[in-house]
Amino acid sequence: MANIAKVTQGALAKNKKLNEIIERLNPLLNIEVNEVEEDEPLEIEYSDNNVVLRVPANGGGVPEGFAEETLDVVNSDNTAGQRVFLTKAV
Amino acid sequence: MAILRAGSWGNWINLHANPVTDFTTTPSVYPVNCAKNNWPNQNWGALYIKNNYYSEEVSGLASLGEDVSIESDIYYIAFIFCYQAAQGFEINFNWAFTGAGVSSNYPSLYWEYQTKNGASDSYFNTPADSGTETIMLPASTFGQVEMYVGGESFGEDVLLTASLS
Repeated sequence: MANIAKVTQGALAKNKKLNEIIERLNPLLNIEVNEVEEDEPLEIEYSDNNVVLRVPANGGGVPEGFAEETLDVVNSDNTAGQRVFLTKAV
Repeated sequence: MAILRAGSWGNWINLHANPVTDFTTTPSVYPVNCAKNNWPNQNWGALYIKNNYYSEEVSGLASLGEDVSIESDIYYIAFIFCYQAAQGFEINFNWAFTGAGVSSNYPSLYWEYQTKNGASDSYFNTPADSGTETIMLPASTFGQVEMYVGGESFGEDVLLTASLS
């Protein structure tokens, strides 16, 4: 999406607050998502031009100590279904 | 909202029992069904118990639409099952008395259910020689249903056939 141009003429240009908001907003219109190594942390990097999200390769993975488990459920229409739960022994 | 499965067998007190495969003695736990549908690894079922007064009661597993029968002059057939349902559903209790003893038969029919969500109902009747009783079972995380039909003809035998559908 194209950046929002700053206001340079007219009465609005006299209001510096407006251009300040445009400067802060434009990086959010250029969000970039980068996949990084699995063991690297999730990071967000701001700059004047864009915002970069650095996401670990497995998307964060299963929280430590938990495991995925597929369990049977009764669906809302009374049919049998399954859901994946994150479970942990207590 | 989805309901987490109980069972695979159970009863009012124990919602998580192992399935029964040996019916040498009458089980005290029953199949836990997904309303009127099959689970991926367990077909719909109800425990049946039948007795002719003169010998030990016999139990087994009946599916939807499967006839259970007994012939005697003092006799009954009962069905028991548990269920889980996200919405209410109907189940039919079907019966038929036939044979020479029908003219002197004193039949009775009974059903009841209770749910962990606080609903319960029961019904007793002197039934016709054949018929269907439709029971509306409410949505529940766990419910138990019992049905009974039987009679006494004092002499000539009656053939009783019953099923659920």
